[in-house]
Amino acid sequence: MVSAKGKLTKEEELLLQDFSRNVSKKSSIIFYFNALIVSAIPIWLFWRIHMMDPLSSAFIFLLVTGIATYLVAFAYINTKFVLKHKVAQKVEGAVSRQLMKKLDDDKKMHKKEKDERVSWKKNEVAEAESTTFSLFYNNALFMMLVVLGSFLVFRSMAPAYNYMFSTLGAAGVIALFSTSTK
Amino acid sequence: MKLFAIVLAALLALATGETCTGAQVEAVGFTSLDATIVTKIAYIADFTLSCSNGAKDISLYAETVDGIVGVARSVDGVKYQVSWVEDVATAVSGERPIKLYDEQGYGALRKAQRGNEDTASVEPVATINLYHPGAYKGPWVQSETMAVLAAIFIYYYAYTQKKRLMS
Amino acid sequence: MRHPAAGRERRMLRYVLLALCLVGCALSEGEGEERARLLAAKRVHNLYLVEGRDIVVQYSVHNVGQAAAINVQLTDSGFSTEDFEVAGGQLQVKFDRIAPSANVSHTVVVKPKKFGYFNFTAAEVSYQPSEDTAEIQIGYTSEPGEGGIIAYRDYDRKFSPHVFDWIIFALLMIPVLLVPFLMWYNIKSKYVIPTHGGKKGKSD
Repeated sequence: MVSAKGKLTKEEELLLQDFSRNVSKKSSIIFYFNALIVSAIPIWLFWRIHMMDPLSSAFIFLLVTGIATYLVAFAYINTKFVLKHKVAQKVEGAVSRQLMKKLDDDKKMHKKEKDERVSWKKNEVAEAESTTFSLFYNNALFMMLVVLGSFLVFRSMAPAYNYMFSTLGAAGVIALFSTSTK
Repeated sequence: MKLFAIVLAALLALATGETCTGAQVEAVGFTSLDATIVTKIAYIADFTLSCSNGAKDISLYAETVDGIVGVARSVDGVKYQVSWVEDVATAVSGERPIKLYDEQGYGALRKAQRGNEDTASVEPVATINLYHPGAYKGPWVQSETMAVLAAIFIYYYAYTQKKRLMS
Repeated sequence: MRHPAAGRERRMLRYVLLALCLVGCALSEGEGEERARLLAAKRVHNLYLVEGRDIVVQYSVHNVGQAAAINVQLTDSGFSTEDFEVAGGQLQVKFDRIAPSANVSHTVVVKPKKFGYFNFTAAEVSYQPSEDTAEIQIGYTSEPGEGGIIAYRDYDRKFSPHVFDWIIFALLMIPVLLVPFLMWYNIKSKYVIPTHGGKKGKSD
């Protein structure tokens, strides 16, 4: 994708940025906000079902939620990064076909410009699809691990330990899994 | 929970003495509704009796699962109570009729029993219907089990989709 | 000392056991005189004793004497209104007459207002041992003994199905799982991979 010449076009620079692990301010807000919500949900389970007192456990709730938010957001970003390449390859055909149909009438448009439009659109679609899927996938895995941990694995432990182990464990596991490319 | 049992008054006017005619029964029933912590279901009917002939301080007998038993009364003699327990496993739900007899009826009933006659011919003073809606014996499946299965199912779907995307 | 939790379980089981107690042991038997003798038991039919939940207490009185017991009064002052609420039945009742070898039973359902150890004491039974005596005999039922009443909160944690709490949890899953899923699904179905293009032959 990068042209052989040392100089990158503006479009290519944008593309390169988007495919890197660095996320834009907007998507980083989305990721951290989602991570915060998801990390806070176990509090409900432990407050209502495991009967932890919300006031006396406030500190541990805050601490664990904070750490879990960081780990979950880390997992989102990694998963999105890994997925985006694959998704971009997958949607390329569909995106260019759809776009070409629209742009065919426009005789004035240059071939190169059309390619750029396709590449830009492809990036946009891949970005959106990988972001939403990363949220869905990591949330599903996190919730499953929290439920399994708190009701099966650590069920006999005191609620406070159960909470710490199942929430941090689940967040840790999804963060770890997200680094693998498989 | 208290349930108002259906009040049913039957007539019996035979001999003189402490007989109650035109018996009116006002009953409040209680049955155990939560079978998760008890081993036996309690059936309790508390009632007051008023007779149209003004008869007071009447001894009553009741026909329950325990047979014909003396009915307990409050010390002032105003409130009556018929109660018994049944095992949770065999406790029957629905309407449980309790037939009430006075001394005369009780005597007639005993006589009929001794003579192997039909006891149904002896008219009760009144009948109370104690309604037991059935007791809660615990959940059909544990909520946690449902949650665990749902969580696994959702993740499994997410996993297959991810596999597809990564292929 | 036994471990308190183990002791509690054992004590709970003990309620189910019937312990008959002779009422009026000190009774002086008159020669040739027919008298009623009552045996009374107090039993608690519970698997668990839980704060605010039913405790089924059954009293059974059995006349083992030769004469009918008259004016039998059963009084259980062990359940104070401070600690218990009566859900069904009366704690003080009388039976006009209990014939020889006859049984009566009486059931009360109480709900404890507090949790902690509670000593289930004997109920009092008073009666006239025969028709033609004004003398009043006083005796006691068996004593179920001490039992631990579990705090509702602890019981609930262990046994409640928490249906409401799980419904709320399921609703929380809407923004967390359903929303990203639907957003992803929309995008995905808009740009379906062309069936011929799949390198590994995967198709929708």
